Amino acid sequence: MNAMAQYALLIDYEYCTGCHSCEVACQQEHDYPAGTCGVVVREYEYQAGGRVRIDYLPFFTQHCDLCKVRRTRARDSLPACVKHCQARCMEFGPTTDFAARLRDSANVALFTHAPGR
Amino acid sequence: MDVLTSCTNGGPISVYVEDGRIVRVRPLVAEEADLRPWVIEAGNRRYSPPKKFNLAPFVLTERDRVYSPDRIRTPLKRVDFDPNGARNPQSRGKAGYERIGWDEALDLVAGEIERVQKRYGPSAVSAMTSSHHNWGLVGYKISAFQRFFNLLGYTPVLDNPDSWEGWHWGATHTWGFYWRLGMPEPYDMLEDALKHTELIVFWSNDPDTTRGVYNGSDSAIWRQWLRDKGVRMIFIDPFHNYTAAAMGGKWIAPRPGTDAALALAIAHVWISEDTYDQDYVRTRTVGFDAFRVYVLGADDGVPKTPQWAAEECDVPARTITALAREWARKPTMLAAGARGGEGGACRQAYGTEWARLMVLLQAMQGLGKPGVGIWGTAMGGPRNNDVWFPAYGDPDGRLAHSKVARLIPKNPVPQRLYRPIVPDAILAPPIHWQGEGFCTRSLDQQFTPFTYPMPGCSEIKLWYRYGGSFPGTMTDTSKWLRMYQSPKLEFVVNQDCWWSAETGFADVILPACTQLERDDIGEWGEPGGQSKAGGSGCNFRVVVRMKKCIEPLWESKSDYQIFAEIARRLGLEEDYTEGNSELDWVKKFFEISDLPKFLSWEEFDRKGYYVINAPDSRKSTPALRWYAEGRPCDTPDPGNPKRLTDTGHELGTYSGKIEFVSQSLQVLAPAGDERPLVPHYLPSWEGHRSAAVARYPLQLISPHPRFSFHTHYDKHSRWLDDIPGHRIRKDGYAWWPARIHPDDAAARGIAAGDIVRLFNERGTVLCIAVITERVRRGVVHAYVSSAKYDPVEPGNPNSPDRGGCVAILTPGRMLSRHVAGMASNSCLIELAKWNGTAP
Repeated sequence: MNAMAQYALLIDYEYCTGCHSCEVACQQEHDYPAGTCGVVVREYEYQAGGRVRIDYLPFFTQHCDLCKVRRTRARDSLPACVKHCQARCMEFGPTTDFAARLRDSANVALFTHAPGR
Repeated sequence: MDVLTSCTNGGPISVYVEDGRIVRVRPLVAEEADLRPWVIEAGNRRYSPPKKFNLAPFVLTERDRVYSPDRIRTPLKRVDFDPNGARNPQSRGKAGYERIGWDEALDLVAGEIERVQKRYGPSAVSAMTSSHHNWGLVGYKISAFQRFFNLLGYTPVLDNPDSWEGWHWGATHTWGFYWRLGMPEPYDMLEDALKHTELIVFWSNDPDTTRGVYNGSDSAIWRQWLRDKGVRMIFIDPFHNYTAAAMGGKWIAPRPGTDAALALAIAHVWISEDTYDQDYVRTRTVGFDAFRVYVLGADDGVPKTPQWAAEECDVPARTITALAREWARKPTMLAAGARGGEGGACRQAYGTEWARLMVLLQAMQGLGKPGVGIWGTAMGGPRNNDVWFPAYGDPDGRLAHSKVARLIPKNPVPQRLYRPIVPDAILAPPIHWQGEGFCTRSLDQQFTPFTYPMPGCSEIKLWYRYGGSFPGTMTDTSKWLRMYQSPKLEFVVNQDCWWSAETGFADVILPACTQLERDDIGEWGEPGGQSKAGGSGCNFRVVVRMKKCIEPLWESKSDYQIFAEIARRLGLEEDYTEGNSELDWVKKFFEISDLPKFLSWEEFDRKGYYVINAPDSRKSTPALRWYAEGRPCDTPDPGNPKRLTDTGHELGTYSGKIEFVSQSLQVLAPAGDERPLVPHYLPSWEGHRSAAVARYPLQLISPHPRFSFHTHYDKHSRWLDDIPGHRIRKDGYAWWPARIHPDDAAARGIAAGDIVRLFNERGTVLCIAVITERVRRGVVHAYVSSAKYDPVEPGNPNSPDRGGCVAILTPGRMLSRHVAGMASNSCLIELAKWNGTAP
């Protein structure tokens, strides 16, 4: 059994505006070619209460390494996606802290990463 | 590693350079102590922006754009162009190019300029830039480019007020503000809204997408504050736009072209239920009685009731009534475009009428009273307006007109062209139009008549294009392609950083470098001039020393350098440069500004930026509060000609008041003008009632794009092709999305991801189908501003385009008779699945 992932990304997608800044920031950070990215913003369109509604949710792919290299540089303690998020809907931190907060939140997603990644 | 500073159309940046190569671009890294965020206190809360510069998302792709494979690397000459023999203009757009050296290219260009001007006179040369160039005062179009051409003598092309046509040609006759091209002053409206507004009606406005033009994403948090505070939001737009998606709230989707009918029905509810501000209407407006007669139908027998509007707009009458009642009940802000005004509804047939009615509706609710304004939610944050730094809209911010130069060259040629009809002028002269483009000096300027060719002047023989993506931005744009193939244009130059839609139509192509490869200076977001304080959508005022981060790539040169070298060949170099390098001009702009009061040039140059913080104790002067309260104008709006005079309490209209019956149109409008003195609903000449509906039953709307700055960044930043709201990959090609309602798609057998052809008699454009309830039935949404023109059959202007230039489909007809504006959103099309082969 895996140990609990040490770090996680917390997404409060109530506030995501679908600007895709996290994607281009990730591509720049890792110098990924077009078509490759560590984070992808998905748009979900649905109807509720007779109205069109849209949710955006950033999720993380196998290309996400939590900006390991970037975070070892002195100035940068945050992954590029978190740093450049226009809506401030992403947070980076210890998984256990976030897990404790989940109980009080709505529209929140927690992404964890296997240790060593 | 060097860290250098620059500024873009979407925000200030720090550029990291290693071994002469840009390795990262990030939002400007400022010292924390330099940023003193303002605070607004409202409803027991303190609102203050984070210490951060929020770029427009595409700016994060800047590095990819600089090194794009689409860069023009060397000077080029069309292979079958021979200046001393066959010029073969018919092969423009399909012939290949061969590399030539700079000397050969510049000799050729200077030689052709000399030959044409000698033979036909200076007016035979015309030159045209795109609307927005790279940022920076020295390299900007009204600097490097216009200083050169004013010295040379040429036929300039007047710009039409493309993004705000109806406000320019219509609203100016209702509330003045012609010095702002019809849009309102923005001052301190965020504070006013946070304190007093309970409802915001976004009408044809998507600020999360258009970002207050240059202001990046800085205002996004304002709308979060407003929403979290409980301010209700209603969105009127045929497309459920991105602000609506982020904010929630009610969506009302009228048929395109019927917004004026919806506005009249709202007025009808207020008049019949007596829920408008009678005192304001009596004291601050003129002509209400005539408006009342028209709204109630006493003159034409048609009461403009919600039931009547429901037929036109396809919005239920009860929805209209409920909207009108809520609007009247609550302090309501009308957000009718990024600058308060703008919006796709003003870029359509008779768009003047909608814009005028927007002003009149708010006048009926006390425009200028607390919480009641016309404000787009993307400008009007607290700002230090006392410190002066020139911007491109200010004469002193341009090398062509600024006191930084000893000589201000005057173009001797009186002839003019007009942007939307340049191809008509070249292909089928003579042509006539009315209006001096941006009419910032008076209402009368809108009526100045022009003829091309002007008596005593020549037709255009030499066309010098700087940038160039009009197939994706203007209207009925295949005519530009036909123009390029006309033998009337003896010589065509294109100067640009990247291959864009028009590049491959030139005889000689000159490679310019990007702003990261030359020295410059600029303030983030501030256009100055007709958009004074437009930068108030940025949470911090920052002037950036735009550094030359890397050497010009490949064989490119800066625009200034290119013009200086052509000027040398024409004997104009000394007057052009006055011995100044670009860095010398940068320093001069710094010196004429207020910045030397705060820091030395050396410090500014070393640090790379200066933040002009809002003063700690500021006095809020909300836009038009002075007018509502009958006081002289107290806003820092230098363009207002009545400000600080005896008539300082008046608006810029003829009467000085808001005009339900336009006094200026009464005096100025010639016979046959289609702007009635009282604004009317006039069914579109290309809308749901047109005969053409039988063949082309769908309405295409093409608003300003979300993931590019007009055509900038599209095509040249490959990363953007990964964003499905921008382009969608299929079979190895990045297609432009067309958003189609499920019912319209089903009726045509179209499935999501199909390649579809959008067509009418003006052309055919291929897009990828996105099936969505976000557009109303009968409407197709595809953003304007594809930078990629990619004809299936190169060289044939009638070829289907794979690149997504939907502007090809839009009508060339002007808003109305005498109103020389673009009506991009009055466009009927049909759709079908494309069965051609993949590119």
